[in-house]
Amino acid sequence: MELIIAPIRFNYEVSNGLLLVFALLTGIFFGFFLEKAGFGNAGVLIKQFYLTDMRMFKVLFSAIITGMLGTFWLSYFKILDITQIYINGTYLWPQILGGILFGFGFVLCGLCPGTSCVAAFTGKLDGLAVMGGMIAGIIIFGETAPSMDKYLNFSSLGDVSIYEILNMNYGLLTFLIALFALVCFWIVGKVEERFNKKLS
Amino acid sequence: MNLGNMKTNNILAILAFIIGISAVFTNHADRNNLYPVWKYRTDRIDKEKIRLISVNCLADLVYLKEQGITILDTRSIAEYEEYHIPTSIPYNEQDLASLLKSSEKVILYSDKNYNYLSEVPANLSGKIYNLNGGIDEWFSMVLFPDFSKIHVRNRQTLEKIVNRSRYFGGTPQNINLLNISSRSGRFREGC
Repeated sequence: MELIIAPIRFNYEVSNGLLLVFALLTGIFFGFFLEKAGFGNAGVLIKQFYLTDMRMFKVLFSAIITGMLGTFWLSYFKILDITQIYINGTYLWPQILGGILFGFGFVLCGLCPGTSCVAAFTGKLDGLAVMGGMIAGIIIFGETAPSMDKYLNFSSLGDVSIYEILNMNYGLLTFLIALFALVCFWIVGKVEERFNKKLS
Repeated sequence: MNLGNMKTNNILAILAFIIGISAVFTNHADRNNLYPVWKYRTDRIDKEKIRLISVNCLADLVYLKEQGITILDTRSIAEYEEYHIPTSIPYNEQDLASLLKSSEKVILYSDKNYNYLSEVPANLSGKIYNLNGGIDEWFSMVLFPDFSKIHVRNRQTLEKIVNRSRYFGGTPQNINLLNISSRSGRFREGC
């Protein structure tokens, strides 16, 4: 199995063992920051759906923007090899259906897969239950996926990027998404204020 | 502006805006030698605005047997007979007006540059496109794409370039240099 976790152009050969260490450290930091942001608590996350605390939206969108700008500029300066970055394939309708199911589960539990692990490892029983459900789901999906191949590959667009589909400049798209995020941050800030005032 | 009085969030937002808008003015694809994905664009040659079509787009139009396009070879007849882009016909100024009426797009190509555009009457330039890079670009990007010089970002693009090259009778060069083929075994999903 080939391991390319971060296709940074090193001047020396990076062993698979070292890449796994990077992966472990990244995972530890990811979990640590999720917990520090309060995402190990379903009570905090569920407030997002009542529009009173949009912390999750802000943190995750900030992470997306940071990652997007980082990928753009690191690859521009040829530190990151953009041709080697793994992109999830786009399966339009299965992913829309999956997104709805995911959202439904998120509202129901107040946790998503990543945050459920953080909640479980900080001793929260709801986190443990969600994690158990997630693992059960993975096993069921893994066992039934081969027989559903036809449906899962329906509306497959391949591993394409938005700028390729829209036939636009990668830099322009990067800027537009960053701008969209900034506008969204401003709007959700106002929404939060309004709904918190209503509650108080 | 006193940065000391500004909230950290505002400073970060301004920073993201500046870094984001700077991205617009870069040519990321060229710098990384990525296979061009653009289809049409305009350029100025000798202060004259001209429409360009990329070889990638033209190859797709021919490959998919798109109707309503006329491709004109503006080189000499001898060069045309030696090799020409499939479905193209030799350029004849007298026929241009009638071709423009009957076609949705008229695409002109030459060796490398597009100086021949000056020969085309200005009032007929509405639907005329020039092939960016001319026949040379057709050879290097469509017929004999050299993967030691250009990079592709995903498997679909790679397969399309390779299949198209073979369809037009060419041979992709240095395909073994691509790491992209090893990507099929990698899976990383989820949030």
